[in-house]
Amino acid sequence: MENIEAMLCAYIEGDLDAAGRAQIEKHLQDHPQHRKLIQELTAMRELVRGLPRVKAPMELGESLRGKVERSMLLGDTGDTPQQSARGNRWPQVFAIAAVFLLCASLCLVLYKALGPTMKPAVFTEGVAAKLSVAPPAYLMTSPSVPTTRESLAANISTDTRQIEPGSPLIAPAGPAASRPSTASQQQPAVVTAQFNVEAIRQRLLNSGIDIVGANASSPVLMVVSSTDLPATNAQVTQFLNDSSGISWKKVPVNVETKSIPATLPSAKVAGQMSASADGKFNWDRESGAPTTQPASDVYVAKGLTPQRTDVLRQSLAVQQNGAEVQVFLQPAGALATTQPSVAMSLKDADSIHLGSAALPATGPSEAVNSGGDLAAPTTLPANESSVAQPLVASGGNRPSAGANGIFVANSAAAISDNSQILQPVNTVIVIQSTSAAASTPGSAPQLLPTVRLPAEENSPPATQPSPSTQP
Amino acid sequence: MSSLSGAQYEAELPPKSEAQGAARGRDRETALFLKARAGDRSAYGQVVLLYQDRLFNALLRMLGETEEARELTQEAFTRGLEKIETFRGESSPYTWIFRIGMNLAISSLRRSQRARTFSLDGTSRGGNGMPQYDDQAAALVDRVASNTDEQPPQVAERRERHQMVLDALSRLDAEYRAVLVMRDVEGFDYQQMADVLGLPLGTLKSRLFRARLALRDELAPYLSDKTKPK
Repeated sequence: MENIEAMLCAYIEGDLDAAGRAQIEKHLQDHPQHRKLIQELTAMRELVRGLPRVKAPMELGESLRGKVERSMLLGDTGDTPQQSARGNRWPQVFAIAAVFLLCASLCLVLYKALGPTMKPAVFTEGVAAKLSVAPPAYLMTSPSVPTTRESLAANISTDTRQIEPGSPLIAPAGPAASRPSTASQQQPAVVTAQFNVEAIRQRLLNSGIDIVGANASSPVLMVVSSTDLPATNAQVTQFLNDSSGISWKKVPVNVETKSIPATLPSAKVAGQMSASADGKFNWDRESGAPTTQPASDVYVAKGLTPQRTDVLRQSLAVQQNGAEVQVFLQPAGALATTQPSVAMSLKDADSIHLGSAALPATGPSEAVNSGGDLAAPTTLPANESSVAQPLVASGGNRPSAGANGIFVANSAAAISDNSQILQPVNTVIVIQSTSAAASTPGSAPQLLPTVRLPAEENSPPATQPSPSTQP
Repeated sequence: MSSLSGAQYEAELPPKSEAQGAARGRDRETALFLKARAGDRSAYGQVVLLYQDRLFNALLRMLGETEEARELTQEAFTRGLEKIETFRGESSPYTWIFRIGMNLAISSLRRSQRARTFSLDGTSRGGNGMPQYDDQAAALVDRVASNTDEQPPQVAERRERHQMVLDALSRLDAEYRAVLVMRDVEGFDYQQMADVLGLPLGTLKSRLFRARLALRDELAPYLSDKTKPK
């Protein structure tokens, strides 16, 4: 079939040899209809051949010649398309590399800029040993083991468990010990409990004290660890003095020390208690004379905006004559007394001690048996709910009074002499020493002896018994 | 002057009697092309000048659209420059360039899968049936054509005939269109066509015969009108 078509095609084109042409002629004589078809096909050929020719547009030649000239001037040696494509990818590669470099630079800048903000306070071994309340695991670190942002974030995220009413403020040692904290592994005698801020908040709520911050972004707690307490104190004081609109009060921990029995006493009773190094409570509220050297200082400020707090934090983070200063901002919302109504409810409170500051020494067994080592009843009496009680939370072991306090939040009344509440308390600044060397007598506040928890929870503590447990 | 010279590309194909001159022209074109392959870009510029009209016309008959024919003509020359090192002189330079352009056109037609309405000079028709000129060159062609000695009825009839052929071409498959354009528009011989399409000669002739049959079927109404006794 193909051969016949090829022969017919050649016949139409006039390219067929004589023999073939004769064969076709003979066939056409026998089939006149086919002759007509051949005539039509020949006519088709002439019709197409008769089509006019069109010249290329003027710009086509110009464009092509320009392209060739450019190629000539640029010395293009006529790369294959594949080679050209490869060559054209270089700008893309450079662009991608530039983007990566830019991102890396940006990350570096952000890291440098936000580093102090993100950097948690470092509770060194020495400091931790002086605390009667073990700080959160994510605050615990060893000088030889740097605290990383990742570990901080991981620990914070794991510390958001739901708190049931009446849950202990100090979590049992078990969960804490199970945390993957290098510091806790290295300091098993100290990190035996987790400081549960959320439990404290819940307990305050049970007492009719709403501590849910109106401004969740406000930093409510600033813990400053410094090897040079006087210098840091001076810096904080200077900042608060120089900043208008901030009312603040410095609350030395040793002055506010008080003894909390197994059940929470009234504010008046609590105010008459004090703690001393030997476990006796000799605080005279009237005179306010400290019986122990201040181990840390607490500033309760109102009107200290988050922005100013950040400025203060950054200024504190600057090295002071080579001394180490580290600042930790408690995550916003963990503890806040920012609502005016709440502050009003706290106005008669002497203080709210959250932490180990100036607590009487109590045995660990009692602490454990008291269901979280909170020296306060789970639920306050109804008639006392409007009068905030001094709530004291401490760690599993409270070896001595006057140890470095961690969290102390004063009531609004403690800020203003006339109890006029203009602004809620929104920031509590705790300055604590990070080394015993900085607290040597005569040069720095005296740190009281500290006692570590034994590895076993129920083993006898190497501390002096508290009055409540002493016969 | 060689009929293959783009600037002097005339309306008629070179007659057989000029075959010898055409052969000399091809030799000159081949030498020019070899110079271009050796890196002489000015020689390639001359090649472009030589072939641009012819290639554009062929692609226009293939595609039916001036703009697309222009783009593909430019693309064919650009690719020719990129691949010029692969030219081995086994075929004529124009056949080599034409193959690039034809492959581009066939690919474009296969992609578009649409029927195209051809026009005589690459112009599109407006709503009133009047041609809408795409460029000055097409307008010039039309004006020159209108200045012949033909009487208006003859001009109109010729234009109508050409338009019918172009319309019929536009309805053919790309493969049929290609062989008709190469044979009847470009005047390729069978070997050139076989080189471009990569087909055996017998298959090529068979396809050409079928393409003519298909065109006849498309033009049957027109032919019947013309053959009707008036």
